[in-house]
Amino acid sequence: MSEVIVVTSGKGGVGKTTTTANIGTGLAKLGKKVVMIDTDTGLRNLDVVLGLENRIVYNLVDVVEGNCRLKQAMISDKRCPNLYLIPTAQTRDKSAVTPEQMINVINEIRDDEENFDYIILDCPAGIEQGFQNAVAGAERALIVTTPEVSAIRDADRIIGLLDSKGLSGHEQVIVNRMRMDMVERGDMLSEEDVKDILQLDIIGVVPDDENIVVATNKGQPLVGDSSLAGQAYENICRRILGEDVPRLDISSNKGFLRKLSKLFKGSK
Amino acid sequence: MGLLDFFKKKSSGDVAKDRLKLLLVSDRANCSPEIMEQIKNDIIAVISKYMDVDTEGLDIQITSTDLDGNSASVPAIFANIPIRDIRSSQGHPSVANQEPSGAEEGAARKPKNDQAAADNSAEKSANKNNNNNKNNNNNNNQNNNSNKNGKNHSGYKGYQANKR
Repeated sequence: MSEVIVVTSGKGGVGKTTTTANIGTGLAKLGKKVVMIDTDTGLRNLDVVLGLENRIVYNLVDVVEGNCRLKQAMISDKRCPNLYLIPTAQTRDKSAVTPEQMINVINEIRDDEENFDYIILDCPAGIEQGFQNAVAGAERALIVTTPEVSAIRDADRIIGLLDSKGLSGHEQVIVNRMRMDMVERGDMLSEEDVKDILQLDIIGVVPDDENIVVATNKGQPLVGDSSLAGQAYENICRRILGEDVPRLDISSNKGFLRKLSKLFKGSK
Repeated sequence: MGLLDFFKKKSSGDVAKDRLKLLLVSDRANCSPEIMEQIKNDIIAVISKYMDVDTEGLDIQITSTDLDGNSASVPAIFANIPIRDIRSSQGHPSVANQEPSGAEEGAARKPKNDQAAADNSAEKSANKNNNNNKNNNNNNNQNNNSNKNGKNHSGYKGYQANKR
């Protein structure tokens, strides 16, 4: 039975699509069968982040309108077996798909003889129809936020809406673009602060890493590689699978001066 | 607590956390500024029956407060209401007029308020007159707003359902 996970945030630009790409790829690398669905109709980007933009023939809107079969819209990632993408239309708007149609698509994937383990939905920013479509069939939500007041406020609003959709207790937070140097000097909200404010479990913290930009430039998710962000995403994937993974130390430098200043500031 | 904490100013991270905590309580309460204004006016109307409050200096906001023996904080309405003059309740005409008619609440409320305002306006203090005018205005606002009450109530219900 496939588990349906929506990756959402409320605020735009916090890294939903990057997170979806890395988690989808990461779960597939760990041996799971994964389908990713881009629900950001009109502003699709999951295809470029995954480097699959040249392989699109049919999309989600074609599926719901009956222009093609579901399997025809599923692009398989050649670098990574078990990983599929259903892109959405770029020249349509969010009203092209309804929540009921979304649920039908999800049920069809579930009933497929290939037995997909995970269906991961990349949710658009905002709380309008695109969001309603994305969360309609979801059983679990990953809320991406950054350690900034605007992103956390929007995340809290989204959590309230997810609660009202019956996802209460199935929500976890990913804190993206964390800068430990700033946290250490008290100029950025820490993981504990975010947990305290949102009162939800933090499934992982992803450091602000330039390798993310490089990976997106190339269209290759960095999950599982030696970079800090790559390791952070792999840890999140393992936690999604239920493994107990110790926290990743994402501190920037571990030099003598930092240890000295830590001694003075008190241990954190 | 480290050594330097004694000398340090509040860091921007702490400021952000405090601001967010306050912000989210009012966000979660789903309380629009209009509703807050109505609550404020109602509180003024009630308290000014008994004492002369400074309507200008009144501050009301939704924040959170810690329950005793419980680490979780709950939302709370804090009203800071400066009192200009605590009048003796016996000598105050509006209280004297209203107490006997307390049984017929609700329907008789509007004329009662007008009556109280009329009684109050007989008092000599110019200051108090100003105040009562403001209260009158507030009462009018309330009456205008009462048209929207159905909507507002559903807003409150939404809050109850969504409250985490």
